[in-house]
Amino acid sequence: MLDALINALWILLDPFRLMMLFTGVAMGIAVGILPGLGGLMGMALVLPFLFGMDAYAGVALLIGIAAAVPSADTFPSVLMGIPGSSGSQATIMDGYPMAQRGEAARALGAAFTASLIGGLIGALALSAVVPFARPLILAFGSPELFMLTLLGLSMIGVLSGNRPLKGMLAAVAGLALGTIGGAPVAAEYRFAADFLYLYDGLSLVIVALGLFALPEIIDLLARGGAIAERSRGLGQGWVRGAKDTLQHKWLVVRHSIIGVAIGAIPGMGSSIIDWVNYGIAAQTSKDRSQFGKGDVRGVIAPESANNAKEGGVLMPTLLFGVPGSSAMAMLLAALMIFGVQPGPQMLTRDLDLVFVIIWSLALANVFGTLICLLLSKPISRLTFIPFQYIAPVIIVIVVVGAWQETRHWADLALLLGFGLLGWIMKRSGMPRPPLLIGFILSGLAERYLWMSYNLYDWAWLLRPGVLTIGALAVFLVVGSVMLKRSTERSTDALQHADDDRKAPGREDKP
Amino acid sequence: MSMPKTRHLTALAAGLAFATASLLGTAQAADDYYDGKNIRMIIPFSAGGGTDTFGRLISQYLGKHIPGEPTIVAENVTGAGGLLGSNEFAERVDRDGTTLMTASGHLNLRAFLGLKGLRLDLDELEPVVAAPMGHVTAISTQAGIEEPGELMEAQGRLTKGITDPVGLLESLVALEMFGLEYRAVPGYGGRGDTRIAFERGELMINTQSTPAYLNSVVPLVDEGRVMPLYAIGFIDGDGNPVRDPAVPDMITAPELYEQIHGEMPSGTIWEAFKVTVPLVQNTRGTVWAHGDIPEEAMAALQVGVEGMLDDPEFQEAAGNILEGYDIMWGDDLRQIKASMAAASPEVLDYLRGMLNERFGTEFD
Repeated sequence: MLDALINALWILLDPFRLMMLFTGVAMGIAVGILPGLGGLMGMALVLPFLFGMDAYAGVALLIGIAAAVPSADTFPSVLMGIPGSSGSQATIMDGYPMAQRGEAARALGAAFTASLIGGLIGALALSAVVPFARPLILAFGSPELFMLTLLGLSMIGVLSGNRPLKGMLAAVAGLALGTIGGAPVAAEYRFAADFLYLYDGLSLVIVALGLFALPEIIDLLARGGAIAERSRGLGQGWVRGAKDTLQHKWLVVRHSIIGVAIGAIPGMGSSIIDWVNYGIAAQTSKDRSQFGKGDVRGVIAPESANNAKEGGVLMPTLLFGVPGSSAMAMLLAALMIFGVQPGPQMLTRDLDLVFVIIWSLALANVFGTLICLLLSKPISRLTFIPFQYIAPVIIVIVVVGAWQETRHWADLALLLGFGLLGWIMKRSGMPRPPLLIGFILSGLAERYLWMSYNLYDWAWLLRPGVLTIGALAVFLVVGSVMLKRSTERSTDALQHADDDRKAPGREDKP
Repeated sequence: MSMPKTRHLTALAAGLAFATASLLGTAQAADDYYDGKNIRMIIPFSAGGGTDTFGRLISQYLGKHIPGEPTIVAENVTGAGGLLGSNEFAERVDRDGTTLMTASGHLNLRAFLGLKGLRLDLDELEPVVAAPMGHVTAISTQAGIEEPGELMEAQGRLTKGITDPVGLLESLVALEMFGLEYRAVPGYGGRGDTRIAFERGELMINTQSTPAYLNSVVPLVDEGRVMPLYAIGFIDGDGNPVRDPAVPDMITAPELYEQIHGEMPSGTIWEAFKVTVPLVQNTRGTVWAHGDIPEEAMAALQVGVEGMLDDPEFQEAAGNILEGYDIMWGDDLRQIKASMAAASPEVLDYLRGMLNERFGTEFD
């Protein structure tokens, strides 16, 4: 086993294959920085070149892209409050307020260091666990998956900050919006009115871009000035951020493991991972007051999970041939082109390819985050340029990011619609993340609830996995409420009036 | 007397010369038609799926063998389960041979049945090249039967995972043919998800493509947890069952029926089976061109296909992607449309009725 691991490293260190890895990383960074695109698109671009390439080089190229996107997608999330990809939406919550305070480089430094460690943990987890992963992955049936969606929904409380009722309202609206389109378990098309575009439901990319990007752009243009409100200079920059992450190393480890675990479960998708990790980080911290206002932990947790998940999603992809995320579907196509059949025998027949994948994941994370760290200082200067100069470019990029999915005029109409909704929500103090969570989980929750019932009638409620996850969700919610109360009690005694609290109606928080 | 002969000879020579010239003229036109043009290959599915990979394989290799060497660019036009891309191909592109579409066998079936919202009419199209794929149905050993012949004595709730009922039509028609009581469990994202659920013990009956069966289900068979029932198999031009070349030792569904009941199946369901299977046989992918494109274009495409099939690079690439099956072209392809034409209204009504009643699928 160990010599196979070392042997795979030698295979990868071939100049052409390394070049493919670097090309992949470069493409992944480019695709990650542009909001709305994702790893899937980058990989689709290189698919024609895979014909005739040797399997190791092709795999290095694809993994390079897949591993670099979750690192680079932090740039737009932190700098502009625009989700770089569906995996870095939660980073906006605290990363963007930090940028507004002039601490963009610190946020980026923390994020990239967390991404680096998280990605390496993901690769390590993949190599350590994959021989045993099959029974673990099989343990999650429809009932357990339903409970996981409930766990995701229980994050709404913590994501609503001080406005729990408004948060619930937003979440319910999100659940409702998620029902548009084909019903998960029947041939019904809801709210589609024979308009074919809506048969697949609303696109997450467009909803996220509309809800977060457009309101920010509008408000920034209205306020005038630059993204960073106070021209403090870049501060201590990324070194400070890196130190922050190393200080919270157990946070990084914990959330990387959660990211890998959720990524490894086929059927959950990967868009929920960053939110769940952000939620758990907030729920389990003693001092939660700065979450949503620029707490660096709110950047570290989702970012480490976002990168670690790549190791997780590879498990069902390689072991079962079932893609753990949409980017993994491309990897499966590539494996097919190379004549490699995913499945349990990969560990015997194609073990060297599996290890090349793992090494590519590790090296791509290292190179990707190093390049991002180097770019962080120059790129974060953008936060000091008066916004009216960069707004047109950003608007074009956001519109193209929304448009490129189906190139249908309705993409643009929806983008505008959600932009308007997001702006209204921002103005009226209604938190937007619960809406997004409700939207993401709506289809999954309904699907798994019906499937559980169809398979087991009501007996599924008594399964051990169901009871465990249910208990975990309750524990997290109750525990976090208790933690919050005890923190408030102890800080009340020391607290003075908060001068930084802004006037009501003027909301900066997402 | 020599004068008339010379005149005849001259006339003959002139006639021959004229004929040769016009032949050359046609060849010239076929050579020129695609010169400097691009061909757009619409793939109505998302990148990374089996049909997408087949479409991209063809896009990669067909272009260089078509006279004029056009570049073929694959484009995913996704949405509504393939409807958006199909409708675009059917209605919004020029019919001059510069657009092709790669459909899956199940998309063909949807078009054939007239799924609501799908405006693709296969009668207006001509198949260019296709790739088949067989399917195998297996059952969990928890059903308590020891061999396929005991199928009708299977116990327990026979849950079958449903991804998209039209997409599984051939396996559903086979179950209906046997008259087996099964409980449909809709909601699975894809056949891969049903395969995992099958392995987990969540589902009792499962149909997979033959390569997926050989790769992922056979280990379960070896462990004794699962048992193969039958291969869906293929149907030849005379309506007889043909064994799946990838699993030639496995009994086909019609043959199993014969083994259990002593005679071959008959009636509307059997007719429906005979119609469904050839259409779905091309599950991997069918490349369609519009039927009314200029003749030179059609001729050039055919030349391209023949050249591509002889290309050793293509053969090597195709070997991996087609997973053991051969490309279908020429006469084999014509069987697709022939079986469509042979379908009686009763068969269509039966299929639509079954899908509508059980799954609520709607048709135009």
